[in-house]
Amino acid sequence: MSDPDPSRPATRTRPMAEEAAVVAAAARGDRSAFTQLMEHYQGACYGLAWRLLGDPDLAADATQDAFIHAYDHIGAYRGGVFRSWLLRITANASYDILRRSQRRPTTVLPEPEEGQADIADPRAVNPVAESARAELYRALDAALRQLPEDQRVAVVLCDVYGMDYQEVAESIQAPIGTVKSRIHRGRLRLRVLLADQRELFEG
Amino acid sequence: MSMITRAHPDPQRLAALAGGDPDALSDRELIAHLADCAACDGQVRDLKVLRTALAELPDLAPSRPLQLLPPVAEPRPAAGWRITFRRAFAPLAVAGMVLLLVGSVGATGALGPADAGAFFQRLQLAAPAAPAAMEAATGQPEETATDAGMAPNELASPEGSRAQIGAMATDTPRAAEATAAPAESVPEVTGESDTSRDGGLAMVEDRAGWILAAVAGMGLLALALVLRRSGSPIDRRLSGR
Repeated sequence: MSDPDPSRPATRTRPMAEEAAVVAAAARGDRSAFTQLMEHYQGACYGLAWRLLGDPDLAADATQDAFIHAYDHIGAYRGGVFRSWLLRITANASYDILRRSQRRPTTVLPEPEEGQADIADPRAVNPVAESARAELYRALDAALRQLPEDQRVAVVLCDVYGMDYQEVAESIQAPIGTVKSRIHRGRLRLRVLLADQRELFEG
Repeated sequence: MSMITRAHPDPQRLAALAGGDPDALSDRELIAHLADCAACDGQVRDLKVLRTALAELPDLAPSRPLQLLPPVAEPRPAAGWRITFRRAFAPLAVAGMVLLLVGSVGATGALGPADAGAFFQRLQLAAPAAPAAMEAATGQPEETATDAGMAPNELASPEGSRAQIGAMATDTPRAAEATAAPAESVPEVTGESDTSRDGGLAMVEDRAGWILAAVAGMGLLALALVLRRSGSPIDRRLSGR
């Protein structure tokens, strides 16, 4: 595997312009501002929920729950990266659903269905590169879905969405040592699962 | 070709190092091993590339339209009632207390303790006579009016009543004479106490405004308490809970 091209455009939702002001307005009860925030970050939240739950409907439910929770608690938001705050709420909502449904997906989870494909990157100019990158993302998501649930949740929260050990531990209510072990084992297993697709990482 | 003199580390240590774990980064033995072991070093590099790719996984469009805002709760009429009640309680209670205080002081306090005691004593003595005065005011028991030495038509109106009371206050001998004669109409009241009774009635009339204020104050206090207690049940009833 080689390092991905750093010049590739990001496909993650970036912070809104004047986000701090919008968040402050939403915290004061401005429903329009809150709507703007949720509309902006719904893809991020849904993506996290889908990768944790592996089910489109459950992921939509979790995202919806997260929005309601965020609406109820945005008055208590005390700064920091708003996206991280919202993703933590989404992770908690997703994990609640995961525990309630007692899902133990050990087989490959379904591919994203039509209509929930990756959000198009407006800056994409090279169809070949974009196609290769899309293939890499599909391979990564497919490999993630083959991980045991505990490892998948830990890796998704830590490596995909950038939470630290403590945040992951709080989200899944597990000791930090357990979280570290799950993350490390998940990384090693992913490497094995993707071993025959090394060329995807060289694009 | 370098010689590897140490056993390979636990793969989880390599995964931790790839993730930037501070413990792994400070593990000199692990770092030294990687400098000598191309296999382990390659594994760490692969894991780093993997992490970089994972961190770039894109967001996904929701599978269905999401409701971005919780529905707005319909403003409950009960909320308005509750607020009204709560807001009305304090001023009503304060107004009631002020009226009660001012009325009480006006009726008794200004007289001083001794005079206040005398006032209440007179008021108590005058109490049995009050029904008779009321009857006289309404003009129903004709004999009472005649017993008081006045024509029935003279007492058949409020003016007549006030004239009677005024006469009692100013013309004490006449009133005493009038009330002493028909002993059967008010048998309990002696001729000696008639003067006190008449004086009490006069004082009641003189201080009617103060007494009315005190009574109004008590009424306002009672109303405030009723509003405060009834606010929540009404609210629950209106809201259907």
